[in-house]
Amino acid sequence: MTKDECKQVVLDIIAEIAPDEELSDVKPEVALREQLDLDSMDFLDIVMELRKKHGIEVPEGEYGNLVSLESCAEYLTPKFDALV
Amino acid sequence: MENYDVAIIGAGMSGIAAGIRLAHFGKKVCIFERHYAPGGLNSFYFKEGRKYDVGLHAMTNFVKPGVKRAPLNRILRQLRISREELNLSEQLGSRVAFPGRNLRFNNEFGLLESEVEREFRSEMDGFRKLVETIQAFNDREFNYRYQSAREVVRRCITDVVLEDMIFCPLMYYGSSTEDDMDFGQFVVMFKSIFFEGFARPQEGIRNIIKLLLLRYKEAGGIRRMKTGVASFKIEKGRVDRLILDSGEEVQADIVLSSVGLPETYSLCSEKIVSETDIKAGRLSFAETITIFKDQPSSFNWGNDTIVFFNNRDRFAYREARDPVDLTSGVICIPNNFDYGETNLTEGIVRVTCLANYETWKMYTEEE
Repeated sequence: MTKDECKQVVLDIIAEIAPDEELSDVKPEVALREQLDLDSMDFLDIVMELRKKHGIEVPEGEYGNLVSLESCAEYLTPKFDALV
Repeated sequence: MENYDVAIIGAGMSGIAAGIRLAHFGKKVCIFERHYAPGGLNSFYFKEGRKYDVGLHAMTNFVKPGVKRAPLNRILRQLRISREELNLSEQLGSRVAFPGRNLRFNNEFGLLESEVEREFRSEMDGFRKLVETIQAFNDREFNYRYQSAREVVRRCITDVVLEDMIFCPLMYYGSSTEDDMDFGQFVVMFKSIFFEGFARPQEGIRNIIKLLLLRYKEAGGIRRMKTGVASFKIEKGRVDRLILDSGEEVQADIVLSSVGLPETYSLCSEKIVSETDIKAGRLSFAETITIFKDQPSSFNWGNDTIVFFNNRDRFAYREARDPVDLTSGVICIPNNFDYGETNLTEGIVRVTCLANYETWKMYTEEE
């Protein structure tokens, strides 16, 4: 999986959790919570969808890696590759 | 023996909502409900071919879609319920009615502000100060000390009639204690009623409950209706299992109870809580629902959606001495929401007043 594909996976999950959010202009380096109206419950839902849909586990101590699309891609791409 | 990750007691809105979140996260959940109908204190029933909503006059916290951080939008997102499914109609407008004074309000805060200016001009600065205090308050902080709401309000408002008129709706819709309430709760209620507002699905409360149950079922949640929990079996200070009315035992790693603190404590088979903790609150209410062939708009009562009224010099939110205390209460006319083309088929008027529990407890069904 490429980092861009990984970013799209995360955006798809956010689209499902928060269908009312405008996602076309999300900047990858900026914190998601600064661009979108997401709270900690929403991030729990993102973690849940990663587990349910993609079999990826994110331990609680590592939630900080999901702060931006860029950091998500850095953190999750190796996890996706490890599943194959 | 049945075994669950989480057992939830009570299929009211909070029990079902908790069930949805837990089931969504892959937990094996079962909701136990004593009644045959879901909804708890905000339920519905059929009688002589009519459907009646119990408890709920209106949904509070109404905001338009897309309002950031608003509790309604958050909760709809978390429960995966869409605005379209909920099909809400906004209130036409409500009123606090005291002797010789009226404060109208609707889903735009500006109306209440102009009404306070009209009725209590000299209090306007104080009212704005109160609004700022409310806006500045962090209502999501769970670990904070009780603060008397009356004391905080009195630092801003000197006219006791205005003070009482502000407290009247907030107490009827959000307080289980007499005379005063915690300021944190005051802020939550002020925002939900005055800053935000009222709305209602045209089909009534059953629409909300239907949606909640559907989401719960879709998420894989299980429900056992007409299944009351008689007691908890306690081992080493924790709830080890539920004992149902039938005597059947159920094991669960976690038990969530939505039946209220006194009732939950009474399920503990050991004396792990003191007698004083078990006592219930002092306030009870009686509600009537009256059905008319005609639309209430033909009665010339105006088109108030909800009227919070008080007929005495001082508003007294206290245990009723009479079977029903008619000196204050809430009148709701479900027809007076903005339904668009088609209104409800019949006229409905609901009245809620404080009632004396002991008196009603002694009545037979005929009485």
